[in-house]
Amino acid sequence: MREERIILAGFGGQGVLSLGKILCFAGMAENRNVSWLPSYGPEMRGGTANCQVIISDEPVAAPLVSQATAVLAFNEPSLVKFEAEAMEGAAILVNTSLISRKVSRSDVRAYYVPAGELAQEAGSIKATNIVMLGAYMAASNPVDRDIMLGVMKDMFASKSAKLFEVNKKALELGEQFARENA
Amino acid sequence: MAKILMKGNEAIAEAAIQAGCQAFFGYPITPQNEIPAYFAKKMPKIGRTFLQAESEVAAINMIYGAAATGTRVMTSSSSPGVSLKQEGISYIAGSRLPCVIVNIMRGGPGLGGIQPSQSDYFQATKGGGHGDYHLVVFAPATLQEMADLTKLAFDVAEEYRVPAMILGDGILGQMMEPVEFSDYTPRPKADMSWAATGNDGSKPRSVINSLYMEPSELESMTRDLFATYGIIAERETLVEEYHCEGAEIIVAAYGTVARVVKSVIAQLDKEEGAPKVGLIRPITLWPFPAETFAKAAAQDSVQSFLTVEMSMGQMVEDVQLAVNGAKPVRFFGRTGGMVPTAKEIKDEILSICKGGAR
Amino acid sequence: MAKTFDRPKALTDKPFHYCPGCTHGIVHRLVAEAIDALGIQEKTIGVAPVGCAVFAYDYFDVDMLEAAHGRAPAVATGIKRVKPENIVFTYQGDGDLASIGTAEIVHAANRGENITVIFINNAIYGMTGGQMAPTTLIGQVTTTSPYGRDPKVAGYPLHVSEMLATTMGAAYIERVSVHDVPNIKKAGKAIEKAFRNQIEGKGFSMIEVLSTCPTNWGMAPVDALGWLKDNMIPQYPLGVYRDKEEEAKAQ
Repeated sequence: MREERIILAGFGGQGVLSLGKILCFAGMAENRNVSWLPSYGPEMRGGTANCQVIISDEPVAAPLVSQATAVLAFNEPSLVKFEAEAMEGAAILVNTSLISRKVSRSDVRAYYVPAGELAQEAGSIKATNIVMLGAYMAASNPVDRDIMLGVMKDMFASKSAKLFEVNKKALELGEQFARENA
Repeated sequence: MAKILMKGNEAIAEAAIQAGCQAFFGYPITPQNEIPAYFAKKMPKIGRTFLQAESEVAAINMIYGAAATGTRVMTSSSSPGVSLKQEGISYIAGSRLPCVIVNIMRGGPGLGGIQPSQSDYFQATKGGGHGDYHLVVFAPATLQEMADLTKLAFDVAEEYRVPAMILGDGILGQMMEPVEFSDYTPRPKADMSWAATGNDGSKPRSVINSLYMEPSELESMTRDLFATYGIIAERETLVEEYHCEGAEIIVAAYGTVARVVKSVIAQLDKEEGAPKVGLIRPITLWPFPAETFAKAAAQDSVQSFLTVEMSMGQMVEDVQLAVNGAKPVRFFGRTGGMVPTAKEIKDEILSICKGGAR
Repeated sequence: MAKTFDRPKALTDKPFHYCPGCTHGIVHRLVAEAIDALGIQEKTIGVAPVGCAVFAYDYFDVDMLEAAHGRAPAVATGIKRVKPENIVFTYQGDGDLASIGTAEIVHAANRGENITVIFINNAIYGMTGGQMAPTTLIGQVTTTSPYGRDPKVAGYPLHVSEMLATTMGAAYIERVSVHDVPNIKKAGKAIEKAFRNQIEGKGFSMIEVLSTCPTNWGMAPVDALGWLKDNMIPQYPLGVYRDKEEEAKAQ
């Protein structure tokens, strides 16, 4: 059984929660079972934001992630808080545009991605989350790439063709960076 | 119809709209705010009513007024707000009005916290306000059930002229999961001739009231109410039995906790020599599926029961009553917004198997 | 001989339970006469309070709801929002409306709910046996102000009409009295106007009616009428406190 248990965490406004949704849409497009559980409360109003996403071949029992297969850390407090939640061999993706420290474990696959810079290279700092997604796709192949591109097209192209192009580029830059710096 | 990825709170609101809910009255409180927000966005566009009341107290009394006209109405809140609504809920039950009340539970007592909890079980199932009454209490565990049980709650409320409650928690309210909206078949429309809609003299006038100055009248009204509850218990009790065949340990859990228990059962199934564990998941908390527990307790394979809740132990009392001493009933709970982890529950099960009494 | 005085159609045959000399009966009649005059009996829904008028559902020959203490304006809101074609009124005393139900009345007024509120101010709790109300006068003796209401302990008489007149949503607010025939006639006109406003969709209308409570005031009915005139009216001046329509014309 294939099951991805993903923790995505960062500041509000970094697209963390919406990236979790994009992963769910891709999982649904693959006819797999998905769940998305956000942190909620005062901290989500302008402070930290995180969500837990499960994409599974089986119906999702508990929506709470333990033994995460991937942690996407968008800022330093998120890395500190969640690196312990990763299972052995999990991918930990670190946004080095905002995080200077290293992953403190040696039993996981760490990827150090300058997501902010790569997003700007793709055309918009707002695509930081999609750069992280690209790196994650290259690191773990959680969902089929063509399906993911289809989901992104549905999501972005409906707003503007350019927006889709920027995000597609961001995905590619993230993938490429993770492959070259594994 | 395609599955839609949405939050539990939104699934409840959408299901209510599809079920013909004509009016929503509510007041903001975390973690149920997506429910009023959804209604606020949708209701004006389809000529229905959304109103943010000045308080939970006012909201439930607006429900009382609207329900008295035979209109499908809903309110929602979270634990501290539901405490405030109890006066109105008691009047609604006493006046035999149908409506749907949603409680997306958070930790208590007092202002408590905003993280998920199941510590309003007693309040929901034992009455909650003053007087002899019950609500029909539905406890969804998936977002699909959030939608389907909301629709069912309207039908059941109208069929028996009783208030019904959807009892969820912060996780179920906030999480997203795909939901399919075409699954539910509505029941035939109930007789609503009792409603107060103005009287042209063609029938006796409607007086919607819960005041009886003669004790014998109040007793007789209450006996009628409890006769109805008897019929509800017979016809409307819902329960899921999961992996119970030949189980040594039966876990009792509802809502979010039942999902964690299913994760534990899936893990144990893969482990060599692990105990065989089943789950009884009440879907209606009132009426409580006591018979299902009694039958399980009579099975030779069943050694003991373990109730797991996000509380200090509330449903466990109903499990104990149902099991009636036939087998030991143990309890594990986290509270204050803490969610029991799969590991904690698994450890608890394994300690019971080693004969660890609690 | 022609009949010149008859029971209004909008009252049932049930005899009132009110104490001798209590003015609730007069106000009930005025409300019923207004319903008859406007021909709205078939579509009227009333909301009874908790207080002496708790059994109002037995007296008004229209569909009725009994509300929890103070909550009638919220209940009326619920009815009116889903049944705007019905005429909805609440009938509330001063403990109900001015004490426990202040939040509900203020917000119903401020939202401009298109309902009619009849507010009975007799400066005391009647049904529970003569306790101090928010409207009790300074120095007035009640069972819970046995040495007279002391503002240092119990605050001041609450002026509900004046207060609600400050809300942007209220369409019509008038204070009347029923201590003599000319005032009863005025009160009847005001109550009818408050219902007509609702028919015409003008919004929230409240008529505050100064009333007596001979039993709990410890007075003979006639003396109570005199006490109302001499003591309550100076504290609670009669008149129109809000008339949105007139204000609009004046501008």
